[in-house]
Amino acid sequence: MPDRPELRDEELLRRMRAGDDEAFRSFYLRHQRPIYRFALHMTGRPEAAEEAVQEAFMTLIREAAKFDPARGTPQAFLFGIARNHVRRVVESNSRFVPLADDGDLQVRAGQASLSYGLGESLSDDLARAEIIELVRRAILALPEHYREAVSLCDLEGLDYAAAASALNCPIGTVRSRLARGREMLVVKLRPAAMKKPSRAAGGR
Amino acid sequence: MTCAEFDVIVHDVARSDALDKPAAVIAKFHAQTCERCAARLAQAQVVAGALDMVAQDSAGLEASAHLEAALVAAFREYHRSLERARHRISRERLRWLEWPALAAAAVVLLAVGAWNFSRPRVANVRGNHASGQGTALAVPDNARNSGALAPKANSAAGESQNEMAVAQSETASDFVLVPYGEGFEPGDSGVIVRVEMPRSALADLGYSVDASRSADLIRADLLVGEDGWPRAVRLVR
Repeated sequence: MPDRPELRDEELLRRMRAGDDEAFRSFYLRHQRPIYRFALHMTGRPEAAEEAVQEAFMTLIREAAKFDPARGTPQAFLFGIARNHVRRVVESNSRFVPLADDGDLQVRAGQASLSYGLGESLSDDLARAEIIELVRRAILALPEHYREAVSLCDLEGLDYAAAASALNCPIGTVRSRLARGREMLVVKLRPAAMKKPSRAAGGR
Repeated sequence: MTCAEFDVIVHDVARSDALDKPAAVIAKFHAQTCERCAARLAQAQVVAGALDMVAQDSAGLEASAHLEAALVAAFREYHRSLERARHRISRERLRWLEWPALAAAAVVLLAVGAWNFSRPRVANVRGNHASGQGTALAVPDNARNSGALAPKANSAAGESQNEMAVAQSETASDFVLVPYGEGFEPGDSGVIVRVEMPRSALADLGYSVDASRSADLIRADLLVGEDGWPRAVRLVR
């Protein structure tokens, strides 16, 4: 069954509490992608991201009645659960972070041009894929707090308030973590950012 | 605007929709006049664009289809188990509500059974009653001879005034119809049997019962119809 956009999250949650499995399916279809992507950006592992989605929705099944709209949106509630799962995964297996150290990234960034797609761009899919991979690795190399803020705000498009709710911290904290994370990305990606776009960026 | 102030908002300036218009205009004007800040803004714009690229590339990523099916199945099972738990609780609650009534009924039936056991047949209150002695719920003499003690049953004719006076002095209440019984109409025949029963059984008859004394035994008169079923009860001092 497709998502039912005419129904707000709160209404879907109300129906879920009454045992309406179609409401649950609609809610799942509406929210599983952002949760999955957030966990993937945080861990770099599809299987860990899938586990985070499972954990978030299983918790929702068990605790839908406890959800308090005054404390944030249902999506922020899900992000919060996924975040806790991601933290456990990251803590239990140090091989997830960091996937790339700064030196490795600087070398890679020096080989690519981040100006791709920003004007005088290349039209080479391989170059685009390489750049995306480079940025993903740079994100994964960020300290966890900064990675969370960048993932939620810059990749998932949450506003500061929603991110603060998901991260269970003040808005000002989100703002400062985001600024710091972005600044670290500038440093990590500076070689690529400064490089003029060229066909060499595509590795050819 | 100073360069330090520009540094604070440079990433918001790079994302034009993340800053209110006057602030963005002021910051961009500063960048036009400051080479350092112009370079900072260019780097921030490149990183913002790169992050947008990653976001677009990730837009189609999602959990596997089998996870959806598994979660929907888990949802259904969870609510089925909740439903089962609700039924179990309501059944137990009903059992607790029924207990006093069942206890009262059991006592009444026991008394009637004992009484019937000691009598070959159901007697009219007008006649002489067979002895209840020798049974666990023996009927006192004054009660066996007190058909006149049923004020609402109108089955008192023919008894002596002395016996009635003695019995009346012992009673603590009028007869009260037994719940779920068939009632007792004027002109119906019956007998009165004196029994002992737990105080808790009074709750079913509309009396308030002190929980700490619910196990105490009290005496009561049962008005039993010709069919052998109790119709009314009254307390005895």
